[in-house]
Amino acid sequence: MQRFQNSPGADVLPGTLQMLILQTLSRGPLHGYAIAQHIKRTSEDQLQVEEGSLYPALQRILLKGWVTAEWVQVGPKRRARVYRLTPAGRKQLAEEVSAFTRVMQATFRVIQPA
Amino acid sequence: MAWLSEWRRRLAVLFHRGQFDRDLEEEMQFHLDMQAEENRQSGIPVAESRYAARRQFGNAMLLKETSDGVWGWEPVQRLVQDLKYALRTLRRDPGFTAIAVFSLALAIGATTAIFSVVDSVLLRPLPYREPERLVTVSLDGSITAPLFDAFRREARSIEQAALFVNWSFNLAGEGEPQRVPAARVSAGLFDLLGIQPLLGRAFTPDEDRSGHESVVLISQGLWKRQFGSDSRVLGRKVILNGAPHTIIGVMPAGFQFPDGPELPSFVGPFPPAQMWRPMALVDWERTCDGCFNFGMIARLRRGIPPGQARAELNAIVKRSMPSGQSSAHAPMVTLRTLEDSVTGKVRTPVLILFGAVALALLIACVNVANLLLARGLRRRAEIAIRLSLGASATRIIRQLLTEALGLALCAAALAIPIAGLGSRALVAVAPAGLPRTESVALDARVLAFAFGLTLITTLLFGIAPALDSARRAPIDAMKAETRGATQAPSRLRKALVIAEFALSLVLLISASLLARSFVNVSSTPLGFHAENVLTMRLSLPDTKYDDQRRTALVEQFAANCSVLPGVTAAAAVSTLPLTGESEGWGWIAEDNPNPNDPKSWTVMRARAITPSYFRTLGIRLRAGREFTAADRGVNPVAIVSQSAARRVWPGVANPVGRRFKQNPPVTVVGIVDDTRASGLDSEVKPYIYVPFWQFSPQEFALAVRSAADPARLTTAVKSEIWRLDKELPVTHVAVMKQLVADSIASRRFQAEIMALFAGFALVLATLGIYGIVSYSVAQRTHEIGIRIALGASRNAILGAVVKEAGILAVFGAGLGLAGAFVLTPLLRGLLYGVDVAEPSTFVACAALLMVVALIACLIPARHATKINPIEALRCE
Repeated sequence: MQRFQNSPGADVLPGTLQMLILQTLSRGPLHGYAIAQHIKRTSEDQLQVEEGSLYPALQRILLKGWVTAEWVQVGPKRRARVYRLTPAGRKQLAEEVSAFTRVMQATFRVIQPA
Repeated sequence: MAWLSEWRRRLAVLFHRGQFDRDLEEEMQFHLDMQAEENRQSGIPVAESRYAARRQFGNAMLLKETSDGVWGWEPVQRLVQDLKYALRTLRRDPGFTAIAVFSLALAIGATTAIFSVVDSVLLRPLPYREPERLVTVSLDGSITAPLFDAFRREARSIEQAALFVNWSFNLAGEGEPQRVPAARVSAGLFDLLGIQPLLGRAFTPDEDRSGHESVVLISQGLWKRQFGSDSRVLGRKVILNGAPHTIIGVMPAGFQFPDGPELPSFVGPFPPAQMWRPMALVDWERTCDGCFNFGMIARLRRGIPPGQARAELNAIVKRSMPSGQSSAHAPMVTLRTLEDSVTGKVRTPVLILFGAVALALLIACVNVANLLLARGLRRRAEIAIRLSLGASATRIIRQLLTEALGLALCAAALAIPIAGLGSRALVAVAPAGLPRTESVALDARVLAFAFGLTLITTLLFGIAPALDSARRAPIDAMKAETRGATQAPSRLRKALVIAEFALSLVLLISASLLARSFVNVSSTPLGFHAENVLTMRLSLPDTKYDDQRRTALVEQFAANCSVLPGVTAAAAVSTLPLTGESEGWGWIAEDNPNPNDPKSWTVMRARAITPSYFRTLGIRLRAGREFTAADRGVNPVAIVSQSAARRVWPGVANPVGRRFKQNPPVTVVGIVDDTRASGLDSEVKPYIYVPFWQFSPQEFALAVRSAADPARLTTAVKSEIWRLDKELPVTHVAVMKQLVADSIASRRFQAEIMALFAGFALVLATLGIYGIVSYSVAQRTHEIGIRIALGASRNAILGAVVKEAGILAVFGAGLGLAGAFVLTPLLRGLLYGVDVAEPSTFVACAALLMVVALIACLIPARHATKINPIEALRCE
């Protein structure tokens, strides 16, 4: 997949997009665009999501039952699909974060010998 | 359970596809709109802002597909898409589709119909508790009460045992008196089988004693028909054979015991029992050593193999044979599993039927494969283009197989109703004696079979043509298309036609062998004249008639009837020929020097008759005389059949006047022709005839010979009976010719079904060879045109075409003869008077097939000779 060339930053590490989405949703229900914006903002534009790839990931998360989706009216003629984390999703997030942290810590220990 | 809710979500997506797509579309659009707005606000020009948003978003089409793929329905969608495409292409070629679908539907339908019979008759376990431990026990088909007692007392391998025998009741009450098939059974039978009554209770041991047996269980069918499924039927009194009985229970639907085949062997086809009465043996039955009157069922102890039980029972028989008979000659115990007793006789015919229909299905598959190959050739250009545009060979094969699946599914949809009709028709025309037919139905198991069969046939007929099409290099196809080059039918097509011929020949030979057996059986001399005889059955129960009154009524009837206009003779007989068999008794000549040698005794079947019986049935008197009224009251007399006379008095030219050892001795007054009364295809058995007054059965048959169509006498004869006793049910009214036909109905049925399949196969094989020769002629129009232009004679052209077909037919016939040689021994048990490898049948069938092949290829061959060279060459 090609990334958005015009802005600086790095691709999201493979496999972590799902965790980023779950983490973003843990603060409250959001629609897809808001999720993308939030990831971009909080990483101070360092993490660059190819925005569209959010949606297949969201479908996978929906399938697993970690989030639910519902349509919400936003403005006179517009609806947005808002995703909400389920308890199962919260559990999954905790697992992924701890696994990710373990890996990152181990990686750091290797590349920055004390 | 996570996977379960996951699947629920998956299915929700599958069933709301449109919604799913629209949601995704709207959601992505929303994202793009928002992004574009933000881009505008950050100063990007309006025109540029949407474009930038789309670039940021990525390939929306691809992302949608990926989102879709998450749910895992892609293969299904692709299949549906391919199927839709397949159906479109099939619709474009209606002739091909109709032939293929129809022949497959017939074959799948017929196979499914026969499978429904195989399933319920052979495959399903008997509906009893642990049926594998149930066995029937007999000495040559039946058993005596003393032996039964000995078995039950001494056999350690037997856990439970019960006696049973068929019985009939005259059920009087509301409406016409009717005859109800019933059974006398030991009280423990129901517990032994593990069957509880639907309503009420089973018999108590107390009710199994003579004098206490006036209770009955009724079948669910009778309960519904006769008592309107009223639960207050329990405790109701019914008059059976003139005596009151109390209904104490209703058996569940589908309970069918005895079913017929496990009955004592002397009982002919007997309808399923509708009522059960306790066995309640009377004293003489309990002690009679020679009364092989009963059937016996037993439950073996767990883990006891039948062989061990048989050995134990044999030992008991040897110990308990009545004194005077050498134990070395004790008969052997026949111990068969109940399943084998019920289905043993029909197993081979039913399986052969199934084999035949499977062959027919195979031929249909070969035929459709052939059609598909021909069609593949016509579609070469299309496939070549798709291949050169980058479609992979697997993709092409998948598409072609999906088309095959589409064909098969259409055929299956049509096959289900065909199977429904077929299985009902099979049960209707199946000869009596086919057990467990009441459960034949198109249920889930049978439908699953049909579905599996459809998938298998798809592979059978689809795979070769698909591989063939995808294998061809596109370049060849293109070349062939543009230059009109000649192309011989592929080796595969030829192989298929050869296979069709071979399979057809196997079926044709099997059908001929069965048909010849049927003809042989039906032309066997009967020993009596079946034309113009009306028959019916009557029952004068002991409760209402003693021997004297019964004899009086029968004689009165014969006398009254014989003066009816059109009647030439009338008589009564205990059992008519070909309608079942009575038990055999041992007889010995009075002057036999070795009465202790069992070989001196001749087992004969007895028939009680009125004097005019031989005249009525047209059985020829060879010596002596018929019975007369003068025989009455003096010493007992008998008439024997010729083979009986030969066996009892070997070497005596005329045994009339000789006597059987009895108390008092029985004098032979006449000798009559042998009859094949126990079956046209069984060997001639010795018979002894005794007058009605010496031994009068409760149940017997009447026979009336007329000068013309006997059926027209029915009303007159019935009213003669009712003039004597208006409460007697008259049953089994039939003309003797029909009884003869019924007795060989199963042979006829086998031959007809096999002929039907053979005919079907022959038609398909003919179509196959016609197709391939026509194709070959069409392909070679150019070449033939040139040959004719160069001076080839029409005969040479004709010969060339016929030769091509002839080679295929010869190969097919050769293969078929070999196949038949291997397979026809399976038919051995069904044949009569014809050898499994009868050369004349083999040769005749092969010749017939060759002639058919010749005719099939003559049409295209003649077409070839009429090719106009100018036109053929101008086509270029």
